[in-house]
Amino acid sequence: MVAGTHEDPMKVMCLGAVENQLAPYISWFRQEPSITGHYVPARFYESGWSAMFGERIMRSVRMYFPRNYAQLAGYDFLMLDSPVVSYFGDDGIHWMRRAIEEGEVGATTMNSLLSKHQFCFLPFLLSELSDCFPLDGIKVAEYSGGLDSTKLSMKIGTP
Amino acid sequence: MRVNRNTPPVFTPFLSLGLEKFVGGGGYLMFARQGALIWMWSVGNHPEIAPEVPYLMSWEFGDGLTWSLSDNMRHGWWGWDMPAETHIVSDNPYGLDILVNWIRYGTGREPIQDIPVFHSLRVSYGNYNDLRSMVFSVIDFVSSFGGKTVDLEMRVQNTDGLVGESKLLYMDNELQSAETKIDLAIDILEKITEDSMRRKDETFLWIYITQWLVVTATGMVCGSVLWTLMVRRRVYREVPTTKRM
Repeated sequence: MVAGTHEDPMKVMCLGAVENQLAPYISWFRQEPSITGHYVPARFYESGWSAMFGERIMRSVRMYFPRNYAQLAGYDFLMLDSPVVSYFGDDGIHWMRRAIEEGEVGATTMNSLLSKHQFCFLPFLLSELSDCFPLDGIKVAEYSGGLDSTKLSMKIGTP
Repeated sequence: MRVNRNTPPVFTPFLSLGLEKFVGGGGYLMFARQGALIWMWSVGNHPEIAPEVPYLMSWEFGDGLTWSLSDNMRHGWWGWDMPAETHIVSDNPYGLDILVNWIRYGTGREPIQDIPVFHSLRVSYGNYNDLRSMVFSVIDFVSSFGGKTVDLEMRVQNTDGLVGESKLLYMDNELQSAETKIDLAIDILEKITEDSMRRKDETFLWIYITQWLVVTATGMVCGSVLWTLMVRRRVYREVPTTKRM
Protein backbone atom coordinates (compact mmCIF):
# COMPACT_ATOMS: atom_id res chain seq x y z
CA MET A 1 0.00 0.00 0.00
CA VAL A 2 1.24 3.47 -0.84
CA ALA A 3 0.49 6.44 1.43
CA GLY A 4 -2.20 8.74 0.11
CA THR A 5 -3.42 6.37 -2.59
CA HIS A 6 -6.89 5.11 -1.91
CA GLU A 7 -7.69 1.45 -2.53
CA ASP A 8 -11.14 -0.05 -2.82
CA PRO A 9 -11.85 -3.01 -0.52
CA MET A 10 -11.33 -6.46 -2.02
CA LYS A 11 -14.60 -8.32 -2.44
CA VAL A 12 -14.17 -11.90 -1.29
CA MET A 13 -16.86 -14.53 -1.70
CA CYS A 14 -16.54 -17.50 0.66
CA LEU A 15 -18.48 -20.63 -0.22
CA GLY A 16 -18.93 -23.72 1.92
CA ALA A 17 -18.56 -24.14 5.66
CA VAL A 18 -18.97 -20.46 6.36
CA GLU A 19 -20.74 -20.17 9.68
CA ASN A 20 -19.28 -18.28 12.65
CA GLN A 21 -18.39 -21.42 14.58
CA LEU A 22 -16.61 -22.92 11.54
CA ALA A 23 -14.80 -20.06 9.87
CA PRO A 24 -12.54 -17.60 11.73
CA TYR A 25 -12.26 -15.40 8.66
CA ILE A 26 -15.85 -14.20 9.14
CA SER A 27 -14.84 -12.20 12.21
CA TRP A 28 -11.42 -11.47 10.72
CA PHE A 29 -12.99 -9.81 7.69
CA ARG A 30 -15.17 -7.72 10.02
CA GLN A 31 -12.03 -6.27 11.53
CA GLU A 32 -10.06 -5.89 8.28
CA PRO A 33 -11.02 -2.72 6.38
CA SER A 34 -9.50 -3.82 3.08
CA ILE A 35 -11.75 -6.88 2.69
CA THR A 36 -15.50 -7.15 2.28
CA GLY A 37 -16.67 -10.71 2.87
CA HIS A 38 -19.74 -12.29 1.28
CA TYR A 39 -20.77 -15.73 2.50
CA VAL A 40 -22.62 -18.56 0.78
CA PRO A 41 -23.17 -21.46 3.22
CA ALA A 42 -22.88 -24.64 1.20
CA ARG A 43 -21.74 -27.16 3.83
CA PHE A 44 -23.04 -27.66 7.33
CA TYR A 45 -21.66 -29.23 10.48
CA GLU A 46 -23.92 -30.98 12.95
CA SER A 47 -22.15 -33.40 15.28
CA GLY A 48 -19.82 -34.16 12.39
CA TRP A 49 -19.29 -33.59 8.69
CA SER A 50 -20.81 -36.78 7.32
CA ALA A 51 -24.32 -35.49 6.59
CA MET A 52 -24.96 -33.39 3.52
CA PHE A 53 -28.08 -31.33 4.44
CA GLY A 54 -28.96 -30.90 0.76
CA GLU A 55 -32.14 -28.86 1.31
CA ARG A 56 -30.37 -26.35 3.52
CA ILE A 57 -27.58 -25.96 0.98
CA MET A 58 -30.10 -25.54 -1.83
CA ARG A 59 -31.94 -22.82 0.10
CA SER A 60 -28.82 -20.88 1.03
CA VAL A 61 -27.37 -21.09 -2.49
CA ARG A 62 -30.68 -19.75 -3.80
CA MET A 63 -30.49 -16.87 -1.32
CA TYR A 64 -26.82 -15.90 -1.35
CA PHE A 65 -25.17 -17.11 -4.56
CA PRO A 66 -25.01 -14.54 -7.40
CA ARG A 67 -27.89 -14.75 -9.87
CA ASN A 68 -25.82 -14.10 -12.97
CA TYR A 69 -22.30 -14.09 -14.30
CA ALA A 70 -21.87 -10.31 -14.09
CA GLN A 71 -22.61 -10.35 -10.36
CA LEU A 72 -20.18 -13.19 -9.78
CA ALA A 73 -17.43 -11.59 -11.85
CA GLY A 74 -17.73 -8.51 -9.62
CA TYR A 75 -15.91 -10.37 -6.86
CA ASP A 76 -12.13 -10.29 -6.58
CA PHE A 77 -11.51 -13.62 -4.90
CA LEU A 78 -13.41 -16.88 -4.31
CA MET A 79 -12.66 -19.08 -1.30
CA LEU A 80 -13.97 -22.62 -1.72
CA ASP A 81 -14.08 -23.80 1.87
CA SER A 82 -15.54 -27.31 1.37
CA PRO A 83 -18.72 -26.45 -0.55
CA VAL A 84 -20.85 -29.18 -2.14
CA VAL A 85 -20.49 -27.68 -5.61
CA SER A 86 -23.27 -29.70 -7.23
CA TYR A 87 -25.77 -27.32 -5.61
CA PHE A 88 -24.43 -24.38 -7.60
CA GLY A 89 -25.76 -26.01 -10.76
CA ASP A 90 -24.05 -26.21 -14.14
CA ASP A 91 -24.49 -22.46 -14.70
CA GLY A 92 -23.03 -21.49 -11.34
CA ILE A 93 -20.02 -23.76 -11.83
CA HIS A 94 -19.49 -22.42 -15.34
CA TRP A 95 -19.72 -18.80 -14.14
CA MET A 96 -17.07 -19.49 -11.51
CA ARG A 97 -14.73 -21.05 -14.06
CA ARG A 98 -15.35 -18.26 -16.55
CA ALA A 99 -14.77 -15.60 -13.86
CA ILE A 100 -11.41 -17.18 -13.06
CA GLU A 101 -10.39 -17.83 -16.65
CA GLU A 102 -11.57 -14.59 -18.26
CA GLY A 103 -12.49 -12.25 -15.44
CA GLU A 104 -9.17 -12.28 -13.54
CA VAL A 105 -10.94 -13.43 -10.40
CA GLY A 106 -8.60 -15.19 -7.97
CA ALA A 107 -9.70 -18.36 -6.23
CA THR A 108 -8.59 -21.02 -3.82
CA THR A 109 -9.68 -24.47 -2.76
CA MET A 110 -9.21 -25.57 0.84
CA ASN A 111 -8.93 -28.96 2.52
CA SER A 112 -7.06 -30.29 -0.50
CA LEU A 113 -9.93 -31.90 -2.38
CA LEU A 114 -12.51 -29.85 -0.41
CA SER A 115 -13.41 -32.83 1.76
CA LYS A 116 -12.84 -36.49 2.51
CA HIS A 117 -16.52 -37.21 1.87
CA GLN A 118 -17.55 -38.47 -1.53
CA PHE A 119 -20.69 -36.31 -1.73
CA CYS A 120 -18.37 -33.30 -1.56
CA PHE A 121 -15.17 -34.22 -3.40
CA LEU A 122 -16.67 -36.16 -6.29
CA PRO A 123 -18.95 -33.44 -7.76
CA PHE A 124 -15.98 -31.06 -7.57
CA LEU A 125 -13.61 -33.50 -9.25
CA LEU A 126 -16.08 -34.24 -12.03
CA SER A 127 -16.86 -30.56 -12.61
CA GLU A 128 -15.12 -28.18 -14.97
CA LEU A 129 -14.14 -26.15 -11.90
CA SER A 130 -11.50 -28.64 -10.75
CA ASP A 131 -9.42 -27.93 -13.88
CA CYS A 132 -8.86 -24.38 -12.66
CA PHE A 133 -6.80 -25.35 -9.62
CA PRO A 134 -3.19 -26.51 -9.26
CA LEU A 135 -4.22 -29.53 -7.19
CA ASP A 136 -4.09 -32.91 -8.94
CA GLY A 137 -7.34 -34.11 -7.42
CA ILE A 138 -7.60 -37.40 -9.28
CA LYS A 139 -4.16 -38.42 -8.01
CA VAL A 140 -5.12 -37.49 -4.43
CA ALA A 141 -8.36 -39.48 -4.66
CA GLU A 142 -6.64 -42.51 -6.19
CA TYR A 143 -3.95 -42.47 -3.54
CA SER A 144 -6.48 -42.10 -0.72
CA GLY A 145 -8.93 -44.85 -1.53
CA GLY A 146 -10.21 -44.23 -5.05
CA LEU A 147 -13.09 -42.29 -6.55
CA ASP A 148 -15.55 -44.96 -5.39
CA SER A 149 -14.59 -44.50 -1.78
CA THR A 150 -17.30 -42.85 0.32
CA LYS A 151 -14.62 -41.45 2.61
CA LEU A 152 -11.05 -40.86 1.54
CA SER A 153 -8.18 -41.44 3.92
CA MET A 154 -6.49 -38.10 3.33
CA LYS A 155 -5.33 -38.29 6.87
CA ILE A 156 -4.66 -35.32 9.04
CA GLY A 157 -1.12 -35.78 10.17
CA THR A 158 0.56 -34.95 13.40
CA PRO A 159 2.93 -31.99 13.36
CA MET B 1 5.88 -25.39 7.86
CA ARG B 2 8.52 -24.34 5.41
CA VAL B 3 8.21 -21.30 3.16
CA ASN B 4 9.59 -21.26 -0.36
CA ARG B 5 12.13 -18.43 -0.35
CA ASN B 6 12.05 -18.20 -4.14
CA THR B 7 8.60 -16.70 -4.27
CA PRO B 8 7.33 -13.10 -4.28
CA PRO B 9 7.24 -11.55 -0.78
CA VAL B 10 3.77 -12.70 0.25
CA PHE B 11 4.64 -15.01 3.13
CA THR B 12 8.35 -14.32 3.51
CA PRO B 13 7.70 -11.10 5.54
CA PHE B 14 6.34 -13.41 8.24
CA LEU B 15 9.53 -15.46 8.50
CA SER B 16 11.10 -13.08 11.02
CA LEU B 17 7.83 -13.29 13.01
CA GLY B 18 8.16 -17.05 13.42
CA LEU B 19 5.88 -18.34 10.65
CA GLU B 20 7.84 -21.56 10.23
CA LYS B 21 7.73 -22.29 13.97
CA PHE B 22 3.95 -22.29 14.34
CA VAL B 23 2.65 -25.83 14.70
CA GLY B 24 -0.69 -27.00 13.30
CA GLY B 25 -2.71 -30.15 13.41
CA GLY B 26 -4.28 -30.04 9.96
CA GLY B 27 -3.23 -30.46 6.39
CA TYR B 28 -4.65 -33.02 3.99
CA LEU B 29 -2.72 -34.72 1.28
CA MET B 30 -2.12 -32.76 -1.93
CA PHE B 31 -0.32 -33.53 -5.17
CA ALA B 32 0.64 -30.65 -7.43
CA ARG B 33 -0.10 -30.54 -11.13
CA GLN B 34 2.78 -29.92 -13.42
CA GLY B 35 3.54 -26.20 -13.56
CA ALA B 36 2.22 -25.40 -10.08
CA LEU B 37 4.27 -23.20 -7.79
CA ILE B 38 4.63 -24.48 -4.22
CA TRP B 39 4.61 -21.58 -1.76
CA MET B 40 4.72 -23.56 1.50
CA TRP B 41 5.29 -27.14 2.54
CA SER B 42 4.01 -28.76 5.71
CA VAL B 43 6.66 -30.78 7.49
CA GLY B 44 5.92 -34.22 8.92
CA ASN B 45 2.25 -34.48 8.00
CA HIS B 46 2.61 -37.37 5.56
CA PRO B 47 5.92 -39.09 6.33
CA GLU B 48 4.85 -42.16 4.30
CA ILE B 49 5.03 -39.98 1.14
CA ALA B 50 7.72 -37.42 1.87
CA PRO B 51 9.17 -35.51 4.79
CA GLU B 52 7.55 -32.36 3.38
CA VAL B 53 4.34 -32.15 1.33
CA PRO B 54 2.75 -29.14 -0.40
CA TYR B 55 0.72 -26.95 1.92
CA LEU B 56 -0.11 -24.09 -0.42
CA MET B 57 0.36 -23.88 -4.14
CA SER B 58 -0.75 -21.74 -7.06
CA TRP B 59 -0.83 -21.58 -10.81
CA GLU B 60 -2.14 -19.33 -13.51
CA PHE B 61 -5.34 -20.43 -15.15
CA GLY B 62 -6.35 -18.20 -18.06
CA ASP B 63 -6.29 -14.65 -16.72
CA GLY B 64 -6.72 -15.73 -13.10
CA LEU B 65 -4.38 -16.93 -10.41
CA THR B 66 -5.70 -19.92 -8.45
CA TRP B 67 -4.53 -21.67 -5.33
CA SER B 68 -4.97 -24.89 -3.41
CA LEU B 69 -4.52 -25.08 0.34
CA SER B 70 -4.15 -28.47 1.99
CA ASP B 71 -5.58 -27.16 5.25
CA ASN B 72 -8.48 -25.01 6.30
CA MET B 73 -8.60 -22.26 8.88
CA ARG B 74 -10.35 -24.25 11.60
CA HIS B 75 -7.56 -26.80 12.07
CA GLY B 76 -5.28 -24.88 14.34
CA TRP B 77 -2.32 -23.65 12.34
CA TRP B 78 -4.06 -20.36 11.65
CA GLY B 79 -4.39 -19.75 15.39
CA TRP B 80 -8.04 -20.72 15.66
CA ASP B 81 -9.90 -23.98 16.27
CA MET B 82 -13.58 -24.77 15.77
CA PRO B 83 -15.30 -25.16 19.15
CA ALA B 84 -16.90 -28.53 18.31
CA GLU B 85 -13.65 -30.32 17.49
CA THR B 86 -10.22 -30.40 19.03
CA HIS B 87 -7.07 -29.92 17.02
CA ILE B 88 -3.62 -28.75 17.90
CA VAL B 89 -3.92 -24.98 18.06
CA SER B 90 -0.85 -22.94 17.30
CA ASP B 91 -0.05 -19.65 18.95
CA ASN B 92 0.03 -18.05 15.52
CA PRO B 93 -1.37 -14.53 16.00
CA TYR B 94 -0.92 -13.63 12.32
CA GLY B 95 -3.70 -15.72 10.74
CA LEU B 96 -5.57 -12.70 9.43
CA ASP B 97 -2.38 -10.94 8.32
CA ILE B 98 -1.23 -14.00 6.35
CA LEU B 99 -4.65 -14.35 4.74
CA VAL B 100 -4.79 -10.66 3.78
CA ASN B 101 -1.37 -10.81 2.15
CA TRP B 102 -2.37 -13.96 0.31
CA ILE B 103 -5.61 -12.43 -1.01
CA ARG B 104 -3.87 -9.15 -1.88
CA TYR B 105 -1.36 -10.98 -4.03
CA GLY B 106 -4.08 -13.25 -5.41
CA THR B 107 -6.01 -10.21 -6.61
CA GLY B 108 -3.05 -8.46 -8.18
CA ARG B 109 -2.25 -6.07 -5.30
CA GLU B 110 1.08 -5.51 -3.61
CA PRO B 111 1.46 -7.69 -0.51
CA ILE B 112 2.08 -5.76 2.70
CA GLN B 113 5.65 -5.82 4.02
CA ASP B 114 5.36 -3.83 7.23
CA ILE B 115 3.40 -6.54 9.03
CA PRO B 116 3.70 -5.41 12.71
CA VAL B 117 2.14 -1.98 12.01
CA PHE B 118 -0.84 -3.44 10.15
CA HIS B 119 -1.15 -6.27 12.65
CA SER B 120 -1.40 -3.80 15.53
CA LEU B 121 -4.16 -1.86 13.76
CA ARG B 122 -6.09 -5.03 12.95
CA VAL B 123 -5.84 -6.11 16.58
CA SER B 124 -7.26 -2.72 17.59
CA TYR B 125 -10.21 -3.14 15.20
CA GLY B 126 -10.78 -6.62 16.63
CA ASN B 127 -10.64 -5.29 20.20
CA TYR B 128 -13.15 -2.60 19.27
CA ASN B 129 -15.53 -5.22 17.83
CA ASP B 130 -15.22 -7.40 20.96
CA LEU B 131 -15.78 -4.46 23.29
CA ARG B 132 -18.71 -3.23 21.21
CA SER B 133 -20.39 -6.62 21.35
CA MET B 134 -19.91 -6.67 25.15
CA VAL B 135 -21.46 -3.20 25.50
CA PHE B 136 -24.46 -4.31 23.46
CA SER B 137 -24.88 -7.41 25.64
CA VAL B 138 -25.07 -5.17 28.72
CA ILE B 139 -27.40 -2.74 26.93
CA ASP B 140 -29.71 -5.62 25.91
CA PHE B 141 -29.69 -6.90 29.47
CA VAL B 142 -30.53 -3.49 30.94
CA SER B 143 -33.25 -2.83 28.39
CA SER B 144 -34.84 -6.25 29.06
CA PHE B 145 -35.38 -4.98 32.63
CA GLY B 146 -36.97 -1.78 31.36
CA GLY B 147 -33.89 0.44 31.84
CA LYS B 148 -33.37 3.38 29.48
CA THR B 149 -30.54 2.74 27.03
CA VAL B 150 -31.19 5.05 24.07
CA ASP B 151 -28.47 7.51 25.04
CA LEU B 152 -25.91 4.69 25.37
CA GLU B 153 -26.86 3.32 21.97
CA MET B 154 -26.51 6.78 20.40
CA ARG B 155 -23.05 7.14 21.91
CA VAL B 156 -21.98 3.75 20.50
CA GLN B 157 -23.31 4.83 17.11
CA ASN B 158 -21.23 8.02 17.22
CA THR B 159 -18.16 5.97 18.15
CA ASP B 160 -18.83 3.67 15.20
CA GLY B 161 -18.58 6.77 13.03
CA LEU B 162 -15.11 7.37 14.39
CA VAL B 163 -14.11 3.79 13.56
CA GLY B 164 -15.48 4.29 10.04
CA GLU B 165 -13.21 7.33 9.67
CA SER B 166 -10.27 5.31 10.97
CA LYS B 167 -10.93 2.57 8.42
CA LEU B 168 -11.07 5.12 5.60
CA LEU B 169 -7.70 6.45 6.72
CA TYR B 170 -6.42 2.86 6.78
CA MET B 171 -7.56 2.41 3.19
CA ASP B 172 -5.70 5.61 2.29
CA ASN B 173 -2.66 4.15 4.07
CA GLU B 174 -2.66 7.00 6.60
CA LEU B 175 -1.85 4.51 9.32
CA GLN B 176 -0.82 6.85 12.11
CA SER B 177 -4.03 8.90 11.85
CA ALA B 178 -6.02 5.66 11.58
CA GLU B 179 -4.41 4.40 14.78
CA THR B 180 -5.09 7.67 16.63
CA LYS B 181 -8.78 7.47 15.68
CA ILE B 182 -9.26 3.82 16.61
CA ASP B 183 -7.45 4.35 19.93
CA LEU B 184 -9.76 7.28 20.67
CA ALA B 185 -12.79 5.17 19.72
CA ILE B 186 -11.67 2.39 22.08
CA ASP B 187 -11.20 4.92 24.93
CA ILE B 188 -14.70 6.29 24.36
CA LEU B 189 -16.16 2.80 24.17
CA GLU B 190 -14.46 1.83 27.45
CA LYS B 191 -16.15 4.86 29.05
CA ILE B 192 -19.49 3.78 27.55
CA THR B 193 -18.87 0.28 28.95
CA GLU B 194 -18.39 1.75 32.44
CA ASP B 195 -21.54 3.87 32.03
CA SER B 196 -23.58 0.90 30.83
CA MET B 197 -22.41 -1.14 33.83
CA ARG B 198 -23.42 1.75 36.08
CA ARG B 199 -26.81 1.87 34.32
CA LYS B 200 -27.16 -1.85 34.97
CA ASP B 201 -26.41 -1.29 38.66
CA GLU B 202 -28.99 1.54 38.80
CA THR B 203 -31.58 -0.68 37.17
CA PHE B 204 -30.78 -3.41 39.66
CA LEU B 205 -31.05 -0.93 42.56
CA TRP B 206 -34.69 -0.29 41.61
CA ILE B 207 -35.26 -4.03 41.34
CA TYR B 208 -33.76 -4.52 44.83
CA ILE B 209 -35.90 -1.67 46.27
CA THR B 210 -39.05 -3.12 44.74
CA GLN B 211 -38.18 -6.60 46.02
CA TRP B 212 -37.45 -5.15 49.49
CA LEU B 213 -40.79 -3.30 49.52
CA VAL B 214 -42.70 -6.43 48.47
CA VAL B 215 -40.99 -8.56 51.13
CA THR B 216 -41.52 -5.87 53.79
CA ALA B 217 -45.19 -5.41 52.85
CA THR B 218 -45.79 -9.17 52.98
CA GLY B 219 -44.06 -9.32 56.37
CA MET B 220 -46.20 -6.44 57.68
CA VAL B 221 -49.46 -7.99 56.47
CA CYS B 222 -48.57 -11.38 57.97
CA GLY B 223 -47.38 -9.71 61.20
CA SER B 224 -50.59 -7.75 61.67
CA VAL B 225 -52.73 -10.81 60.99
CA LEU B 226 -50.63 -12.79 63.46
CA TRP B 227 -50.85 -9.98 66.06
CA THR B 228 -54.62 -9.60 65.60
CA LEU B 229 -55.41 -13.32 65.73
CA MET B 230 -52.84 -14.79 68.06
CA VAL B 231 -51.90 -12.00 70.47
CA ARG B 232 -54.97 -9.82 70.69
CA ARG B 233 -57.24 -12.78 69.96
CA ARG B 234 -59.81 -10.56 68.26
CA VAL B 235 -61.86 -13.47 66.98
CA TYR B 236 -61.21 -15.74 69.96
CA ARG B 237 -64.36 -16.86 71.70
CA GLU B 238 -64.27 -18.84 74.93
CA VAL B 239 -66.00 -22.22 74.66
CA PRO B 240 -68.97 -22.36 77.03
CA THR B 241 -69.04 -25.10 79.68
CA THR B 242 -70.34 -28.37 78.29
CA LYS B 243 -73.31 -29.82 79.99
CA ARG B 244 -74.61 -33.32 79.98
CA MET B 245 -77.87 -33.25 78.08
